[in-house]
Amino acid sequence: MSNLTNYSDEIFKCIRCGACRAVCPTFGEELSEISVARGRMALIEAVMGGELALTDAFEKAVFNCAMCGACKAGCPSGVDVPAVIEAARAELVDKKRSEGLVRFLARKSLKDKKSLDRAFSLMALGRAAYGPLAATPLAKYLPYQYEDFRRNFPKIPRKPLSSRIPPVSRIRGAKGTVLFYAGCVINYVYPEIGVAAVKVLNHAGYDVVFVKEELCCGKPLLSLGETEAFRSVAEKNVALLSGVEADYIVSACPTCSLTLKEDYNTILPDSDKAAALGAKVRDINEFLLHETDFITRLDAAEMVITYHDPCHLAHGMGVKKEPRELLDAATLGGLVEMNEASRCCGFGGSFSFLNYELSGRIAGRKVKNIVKTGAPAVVTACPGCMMHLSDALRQSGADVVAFHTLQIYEKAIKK
Amino acid sequence: MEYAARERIPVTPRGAGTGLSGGCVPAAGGIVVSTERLNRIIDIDPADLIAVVEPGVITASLHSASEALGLFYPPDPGSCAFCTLGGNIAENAGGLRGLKYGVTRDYVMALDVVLPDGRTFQAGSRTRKNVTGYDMARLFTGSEGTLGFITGAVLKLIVLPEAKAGFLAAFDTLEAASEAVLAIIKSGITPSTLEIMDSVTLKAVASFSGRNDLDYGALLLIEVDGHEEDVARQSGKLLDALKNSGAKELRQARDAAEQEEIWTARRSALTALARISPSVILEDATVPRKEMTSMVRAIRSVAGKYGLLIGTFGHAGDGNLHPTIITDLRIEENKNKVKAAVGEIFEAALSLGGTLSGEHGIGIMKSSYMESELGAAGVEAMRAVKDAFDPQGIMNPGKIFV
Repeated sequence: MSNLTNYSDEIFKCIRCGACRAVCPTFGEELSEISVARGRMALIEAVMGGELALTDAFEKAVFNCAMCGACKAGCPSGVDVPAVIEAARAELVDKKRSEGLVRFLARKSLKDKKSLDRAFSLMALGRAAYGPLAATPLAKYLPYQYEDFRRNFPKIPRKPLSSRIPPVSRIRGAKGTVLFYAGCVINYVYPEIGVAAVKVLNHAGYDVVFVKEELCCGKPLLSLGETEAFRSVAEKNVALLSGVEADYIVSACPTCSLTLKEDYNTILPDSDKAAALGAKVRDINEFLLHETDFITRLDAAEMVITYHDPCHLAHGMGVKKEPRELLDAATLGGLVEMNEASRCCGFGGSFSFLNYELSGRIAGRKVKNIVKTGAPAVVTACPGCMMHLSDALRQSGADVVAFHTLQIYEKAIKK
Repeated sequence: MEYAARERIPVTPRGAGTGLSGGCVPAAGGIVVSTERLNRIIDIDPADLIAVVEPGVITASLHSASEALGLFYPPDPGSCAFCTLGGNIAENAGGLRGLKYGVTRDYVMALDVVLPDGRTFQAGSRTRKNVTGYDMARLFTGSEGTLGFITGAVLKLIVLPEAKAGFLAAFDTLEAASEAVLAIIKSGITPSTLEIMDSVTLKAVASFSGRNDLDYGALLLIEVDGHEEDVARQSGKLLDALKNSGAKELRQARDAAEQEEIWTARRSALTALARISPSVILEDATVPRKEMTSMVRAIRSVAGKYGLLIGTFGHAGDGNLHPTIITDLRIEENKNKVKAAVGEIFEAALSLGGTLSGEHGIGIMKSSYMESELGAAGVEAMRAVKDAFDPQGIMNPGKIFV
């Protein structure tokens, strides 16, 4: 997360066996050693040993990783590849002074609540104007030229989640209280998922607290190597969320969950509050299955679906069974497995902005696997995956709709 | 190759770079030619029972493509999810199913070869029988890229066995487990896999996966396959042999999930050992089956002598053990210890009538030991073959020969 030299032991653990090649989504497309964990570890080691300078090619190799963590999950030696890559990115920011539009915008807009609100309002405007503008000669002046104008961003609604749900949603005879952490994509892009989360959590017997002032979890900053900006966001969120009395902190975005659970601890090693916060974090699927009897309270209806594992949930938190069990119950056994369900969809947050073309090819493989199941719906437990899958499915012309698990659970709540 | 020959530039073929003897390392510099993008399965022919492949195809891809058609390509090196068929052929890779099904060489029918001067020919043919001159396909199989470049292969397939059954047998001592292996073979059955794990490996797996059911001297993991009735018959004989050999615990997998569970222990062996210390040296000295007990004892005494942690697991059915040294090579003293220990392990294998390498190849790792197994005349004979194909010495120099 900071000083790259702290990771020399981690890199030395890599025995160069190549097991990461079987699971790495970028390698699957590029078939090149610099696009897989093993090669990236070798390059980073060379930089640390002074054999390689912080060249543009090195920067590209380190930034065209989707940070899915499949390599770490399958690594015989347990090398924490994402942590090493984050450290290498931080080194580039530190020593090479890497700068770019995505990085600049992330730093400016994720730092506090006001900037965040403003950024998403601007994005809503931009999204409305982008399509028409892209069709005119003005197109060449638009940012994200390399993004390919075909990309389908979801419409950003005028009212974010924070203006749709109350700070506290109580039920009679609650078994406890959960703090629902929405994260940016649910708050600003898919507030309906947040609304569903509150309904589902209430139905499962819990009061729900929502902190309107919550900040972005900061993962985009961490992924971009913006360590200091990340630390500042982490400190603010820890202070804000620790002040709330709740038995659990539940999120429906695995990236947020993983960041709150692990990365805050790593960046703030001396903070007891960060440790206590991390210990309370649960993904909403694991929470519903293990801490509640939600699965017995379903009024399920038949539906055929397939499930896509979000990387940070499956590889990062090891949660694979839980959403499947719940979905199978909610659809009366309608879950059909696709091939390579736990292979990345290609989103990877900032990765898809920096490498849209590669990200699209990774998504193309995912779409093929989805379509092959014949299911009319693909369900996933991450709003980021949902956004990216929707884009890829639409571009491919496939007649498949992407949902969040919560939208399926919401439909299956007894009326 | 024509260009390289004209300019006398060394050429090193490379598949996925997952070999364990350094075969794809460009020891003398020059050009590395990757087969990564030559990755098409051109044809799977259920009538001729063959697969026509390019060298960059991932081994597991051929497994799934042929199994979808009810066919079977048995060689399954541990890295089959990410290694390439071209590399398997060049190294003559083995795997878990060697006892019953043999190794890569037993499935190579023909190879498209580019000679070091750029000329090409096909060694072998699509026919099972072929005695037209020397068996050049076999010569190139296991040649470690030192004779020419393999650009295509015709591989033999067999019919996929319809059923299989998995067993786990635990023993108090490694000796007892080794004796059980011999008893199984003598009982007249040939398991498709017969794997052994010693107590060092078992302890590592137990602590890695939090299991408390692995406190034994040694474990055998066994699989038999064939027709439904045949599997039942083999299973009966196998259980008898294991009981008579004093197995402390005996488990038969009742379904695919239990089968999977049994194999998880074996699959996590290397992982579990690798987590103990950062450096892992995986050897593959191989001995005749009935010398396995002596070999394991020799490995233990080497471990004791140098104070090294060595976990031994491997393909007991064919005497192909993987003594795995767990250490930290950043410490200079450990380097010397490992070097000496490896030398003594090789010595022990050879004195028991075994070989330096069962399935990993010689590469740059074991070239200095070649003469101890082959003698000067043997090395010279091999050298003569090499020189006949590659008089300029540009094909993967520095491999096999010192």
